[in-house]
Amino acid sequence: MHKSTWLKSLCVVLFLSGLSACGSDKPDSELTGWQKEVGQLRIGATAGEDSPTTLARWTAYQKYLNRITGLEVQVFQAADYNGVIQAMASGQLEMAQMGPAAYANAREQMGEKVTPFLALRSAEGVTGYYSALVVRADSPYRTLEDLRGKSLGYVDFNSTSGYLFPRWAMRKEGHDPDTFFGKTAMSGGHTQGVLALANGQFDAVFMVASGGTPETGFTSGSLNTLARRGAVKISDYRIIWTAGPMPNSPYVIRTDRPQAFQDITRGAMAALAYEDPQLWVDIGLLEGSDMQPMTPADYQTVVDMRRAEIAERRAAPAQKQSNGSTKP
Amino acid sequence: MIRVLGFILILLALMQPATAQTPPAGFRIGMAGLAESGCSATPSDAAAAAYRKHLEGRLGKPVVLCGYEDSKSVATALQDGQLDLAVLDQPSFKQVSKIARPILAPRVDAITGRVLAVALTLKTSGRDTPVKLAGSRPIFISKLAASHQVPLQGLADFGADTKSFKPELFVADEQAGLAALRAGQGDALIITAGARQRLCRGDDPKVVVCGDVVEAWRGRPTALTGLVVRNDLPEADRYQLVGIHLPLHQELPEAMTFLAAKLGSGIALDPTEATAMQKGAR
Repeated sequence: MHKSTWLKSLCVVLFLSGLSACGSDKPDSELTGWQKEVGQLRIGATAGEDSPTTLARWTAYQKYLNRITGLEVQVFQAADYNGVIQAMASGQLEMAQMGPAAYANAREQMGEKVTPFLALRSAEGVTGYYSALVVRADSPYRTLEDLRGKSLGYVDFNSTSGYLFPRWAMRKEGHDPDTFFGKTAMSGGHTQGVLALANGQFDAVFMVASGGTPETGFTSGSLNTLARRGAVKISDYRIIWTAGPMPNSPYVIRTDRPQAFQDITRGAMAALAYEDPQLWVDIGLLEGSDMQPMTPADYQTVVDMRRAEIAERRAAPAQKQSNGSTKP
Repeated sequence: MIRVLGFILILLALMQPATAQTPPAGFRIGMAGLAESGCSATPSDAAAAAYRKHLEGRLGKPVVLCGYEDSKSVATALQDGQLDLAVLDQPSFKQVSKIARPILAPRVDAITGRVLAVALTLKTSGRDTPVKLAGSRPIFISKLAASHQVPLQGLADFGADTKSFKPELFVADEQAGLAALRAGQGDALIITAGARQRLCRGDDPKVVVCGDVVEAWRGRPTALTGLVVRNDLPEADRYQLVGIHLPLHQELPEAMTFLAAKLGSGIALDPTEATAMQKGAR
């Protein structure tokens, strides 16, 4: 696909007054050095999970990074994970936030041209999150086994908590996720998954759960976010199985951009938690959390998991399709 | 007579300590405890040399390491504009607090940084400042440093007489902590800011969870040591230094070990707020 087409498909919503239109790639003639080389900072975000929060977050970052780098900062929000991955791979973005599995996909396509460089860390030092298998509280399902032959909603092929990780964990427990459920489909996002579950489209859905552990319970994630908005009631749902923890979603950056640009961006984003804790909270990040530096090694397990998933799907598609599952 | 005066002046110039020498051009990093005094682009210590070279590569300009007798001398050099980055301890930082700020501080271990914490008290108790917490019985939800020792240190830095505290009460989680506070089993619930948010925002927008409590304190403990820059350093340069040092433990572990020795401790570096080395400052 042509580069500009990716940008157009990505260029959904975000722009502040004073910024040029989405897709503009005209460098500022007054820039010099590394700034001239970069020209502008284009950031990709996925609208899959909780878009109002994502939107607020990136709008704030947009202003902040513009002030520090002197670059025009544009934020592009894609409807699905693949949009950001492809835009990143085709050089249309300098930076993005994506789930670990989406990063694994990008890494496979781009090699060392993309690297994770930051991820969130809670006040207590927790750096991971979980995949939760959720059912309606008024359903009879209490265990994973109860869902054998039932319908399930995944999030997206490139979702870690909504696809890749739970499938890997199920295999580890001796279940083939392609034959275990009677029918599977992609909901398109964590929020969409919860709503589809509420509407009876699925018997269960996978979704992200964070801010705790299976033992302590979770205080963040799709269900909690929607409950706080008044869209659902937590008590209407039940988590019956979890997989994790998996490493927090990375902020990734193209390594072929100037090193000074990468360092300044990393420093500015990481310092925000300390220098402006109120803004940190205003943009939807947990109080007291901060960012830690990440490396490709931190996500190698996810890369390996994705390779295994693809190999598994290629191995015996015909046999599995005959069991009635909707194939990825 | 003129010859004698000239001789004396030369002698005085030669006797000047390293702190008064004008370091060479380029980016100048000062610290106490280097093998050599004065500024050098070729430090004898292998880890120091690796750190210098790493910085030079990332900054794209010459870098020298400047050794000083003590932290106070480093602060003086920073004040005099002879350094661009300085490793300082908290007492020495006081000397430059008007013209400089910390940008990075050591992280004790993987889960323990300078945690942002709060002390919650009942509105009706009147204990609404750190000083008014004297004699309180604190409630904690974990014995982990991030949830216990670090917030206690922060409270002390903000003026609470933590030595006067009654025996600590430990409970299972923040919900149990709030229940204990309401039941009068303790006087102040001391938790991380993350735990406070989880506790007080609840899962139902119609329910106000923490309406009867007040934050008597919110803050981080003072950074005892840090990497300090002058306030007039351009903002982008400051963030570039943060961005270079943040992954130092991953990219060049020996350089992090070297810096940790100069900072007194640390497995990695975390960013800091401008007031991080000033006790009790928000």
